[in-house]
Amino acid sequence: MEEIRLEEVPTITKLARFLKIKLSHPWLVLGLILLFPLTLLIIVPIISLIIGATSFQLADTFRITGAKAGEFTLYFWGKALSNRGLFIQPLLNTLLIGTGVAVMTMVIGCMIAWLVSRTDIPLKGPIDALATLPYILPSWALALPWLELFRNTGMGLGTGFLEYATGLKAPPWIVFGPLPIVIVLGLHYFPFVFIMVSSALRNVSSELEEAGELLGAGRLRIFKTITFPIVMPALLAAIILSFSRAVGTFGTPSLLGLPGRFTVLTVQIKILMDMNRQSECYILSIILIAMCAVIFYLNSRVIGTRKGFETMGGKGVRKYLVPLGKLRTPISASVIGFIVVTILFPLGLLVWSSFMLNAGDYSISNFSLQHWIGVADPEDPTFITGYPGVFRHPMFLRCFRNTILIAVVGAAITAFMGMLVGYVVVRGRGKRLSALIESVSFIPIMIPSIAFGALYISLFGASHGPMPALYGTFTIMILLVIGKQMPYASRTGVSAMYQPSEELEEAAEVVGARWLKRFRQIIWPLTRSGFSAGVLIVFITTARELSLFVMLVTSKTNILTTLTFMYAESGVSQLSYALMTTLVVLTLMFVGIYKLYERRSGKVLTEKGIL
Amino acid sequence: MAFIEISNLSKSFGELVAVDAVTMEIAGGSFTSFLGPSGCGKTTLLRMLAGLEEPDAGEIIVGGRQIFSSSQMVNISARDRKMGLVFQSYALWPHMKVFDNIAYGLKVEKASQQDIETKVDSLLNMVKMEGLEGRYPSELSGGQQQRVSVARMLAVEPQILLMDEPLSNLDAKLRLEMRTELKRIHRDTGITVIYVTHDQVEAFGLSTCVAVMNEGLIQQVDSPANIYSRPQNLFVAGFIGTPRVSLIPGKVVNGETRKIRMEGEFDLTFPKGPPLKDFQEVIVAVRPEDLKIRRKKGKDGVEYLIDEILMSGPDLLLYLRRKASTLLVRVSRNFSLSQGDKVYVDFNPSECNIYDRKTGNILLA
Repeated sequence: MEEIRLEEVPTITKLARFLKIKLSHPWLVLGLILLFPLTLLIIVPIISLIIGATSFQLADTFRITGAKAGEFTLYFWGKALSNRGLFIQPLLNTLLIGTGVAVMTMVIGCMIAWLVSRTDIPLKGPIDALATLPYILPSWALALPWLELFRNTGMGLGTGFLEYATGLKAPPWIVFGPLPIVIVLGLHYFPFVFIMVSSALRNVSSELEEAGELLGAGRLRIFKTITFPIVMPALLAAIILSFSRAVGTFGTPSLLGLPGRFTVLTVQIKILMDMNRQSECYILSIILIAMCAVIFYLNSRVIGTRKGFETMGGKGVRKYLVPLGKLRTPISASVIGFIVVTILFPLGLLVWSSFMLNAGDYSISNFSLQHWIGVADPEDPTFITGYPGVFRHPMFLRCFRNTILIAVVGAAITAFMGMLVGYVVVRGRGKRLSALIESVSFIPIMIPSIAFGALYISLFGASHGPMPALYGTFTIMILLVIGKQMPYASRTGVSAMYQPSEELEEAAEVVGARWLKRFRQIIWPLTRSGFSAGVLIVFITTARELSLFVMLVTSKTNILTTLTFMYAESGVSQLSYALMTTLVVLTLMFVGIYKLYERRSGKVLTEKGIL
Repeated sequence: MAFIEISNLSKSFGELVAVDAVTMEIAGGSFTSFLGPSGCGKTTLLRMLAGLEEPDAGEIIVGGRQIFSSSQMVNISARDRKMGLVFQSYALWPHMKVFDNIAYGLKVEKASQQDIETKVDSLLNMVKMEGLEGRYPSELSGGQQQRVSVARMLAVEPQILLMDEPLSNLDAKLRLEMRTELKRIHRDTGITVIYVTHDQVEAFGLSTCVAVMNEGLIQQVDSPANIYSRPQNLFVAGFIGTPRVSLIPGKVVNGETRKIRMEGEFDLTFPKGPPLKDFQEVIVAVRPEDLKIRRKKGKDGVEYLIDEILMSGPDLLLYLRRKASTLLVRVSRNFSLSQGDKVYVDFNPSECNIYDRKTGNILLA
């Protein structure tokens, strides 16, 4: 029997005991450990970007007399922010695109959402599936067929499908500039609004509306005072999300804007980086990030307290469906027709064009597998572009391997970290450390991909102490994935960790199991499906990601998306179509696997709208 | 020295004081219940004993070993406390079969495969679950899950078995059956059981000792019989017993002879006990079944009118009134009475408890 002494124990012993007690909370220890990679991958790059934007870079010393590398300066801020071509015009263009996309997604998304969830429209299932399809594709997948459709000899770009089929030459403002960018992005992002608004609408029990009706309110009044206010937070969140995505995207505005000299901030960031004007590139990145951060902040302020509406109604929600009467079939047909014309037709055109030997000739006789499996033989009469078909292309194979490597390794690490973040957040609920971990891991969602790339160039571009310069390595590509995808992975992790009750772990603790054992034998088996979901989500979003990597790839670390973009940009269109087709097929395949997995495990593993 | 000694144990969650400087002793081998309304702190106290909740202050000693002390910064982790805990939700691991659930603790202790099998077999036998070791928890009924959950904790041979409302998720019939099972297991193993419940019938039926809690404080620790017949304060008197006790205000008219003028204008004299203070404000508590009624006025009968009659199965509950004063009486269902009848109530002073109206503490029992 241990003797109990009640006299004072020495302070140092007390301190040691105190630490031992604190360190017996696994979430606390794990949280402290996680703080390191999260800080390194999210906080430090932001600081580094700010430092980079307020100091001279090495390249600047050759251009500007008296500049010393690393010296503090606001020289570029004044210069950049007052420069019309460099900053002001791209900023205005960005806002124009963002607003245009927000309006377009709202109109299309709300309409389809209302039809699917509130009317007796036939073929709801197919409409639902079709309307979520665009978001699964790479965001610039539709930009390529747009060009293929509308380019014409009048602009010296060769014959496109429209000219071939009808002889009409589309005016330049249809081919390039804000209009096509808004349309292509709007078509890509409207599923956001559709998904969020329709799930909000589904959760409004018609009993709420019926109660209004019983009290004598008319249709319009019920909509204005009951339905709309309940759906509003979801709608606002969706619109803000598509606005922030639209202003942060790079591929589409680059392909459809630049040749027409319509530049947005993301494109300008890439141009400045290519010109080695890093300070200015960093400044624009900061402004882009600030813009998105403000939007997110406003969003959370405006609707933060009202989010609860989305879950109202809950189980057994009864719905009164508005009868469309005679218009049922025509409306259903036109919704499906709209998606077929705007999404499926362009994708078909993309695939078809990749099988055309010569650009601009859509006849069957021009059908060829050259761009898929042809060899680059100058003697061969079918030799056109000087490039072999994608499957014979050593570059393609390397990029394919790189994509898989980066996406798989990145996804596994990110998803696992997401699970650990989830554990800390769930177990440390209400504690400051876990709140900190949660908000830090959420930050990257507010940072557009291209600016995230700029962050990492500013930090990992040069060596710091024991850490070597990582530019051009696979390490930096994987770190990029981990940092940027952390929000999605940790959200998945948090919802996975909420599944098994804390008591299951406590029961193991009581019978003597240490934390690692508890984690391996109790928590992990019960949350593994969340991990798999996280892996798939990060893998898919990484495999189709362009903006994140476009400034960081080298010929060694090139990946499928950047290769596709490179060919598209330099006008090797059929090869880029073949590559994009591969990307689309790859993405759809993995989304299919994910959906199958979700169905088999019998539960929704992630919030709708991530995939 | 008692087996478990708890001193000045406190725990707050933000503003809310869940457990307020609790001091108590628990005898080894006893079956002790923490009984109280929801939110009284009983589960928090149990979790602090288990080591799952860190107290803000105080000390816990088990078998002479200090397992928690705020002043000396001692906090033995839950896995080293050698206690078992049966959860309200059972908390069986859904991905393990019954056998693996029970064997888990033994595997953690690195017991040999043969020992594990023997042990699990005997435990399955004890909780009457033979032949079900291959099932998953989701294939078991609530009662069966609870049996597995008890067996799982007994496997590691803890010194103390903690139970947190283990029967509250079962239906009434199963609950009764499991109660006798728990009592048998306690007898067979001789383990010290600490049991949290809000159900007084359960607490009285199972326990050798009951601790009534309210608002984070221990109100009374005693044998079930004493808790019932001699509540130490008005909270315990009011909380224990259904139908509830009648509390009649009164004023001492003669402290020496313990004569009290009751609300409703009648006098009661208590023959035994220490003297009371003259003019002291008191409350007299009397349980419905301790009162006798007559049709005719006897020697000390107090006249009441019947306000309401409720049939409760074996008995009748009479709601009586005398001026502004009300009284609840339980009588045999064979009485033929009707509303508005005049009856005479015999108060038996030895069955009444007298409390100080200001402090709520007992004065005379």
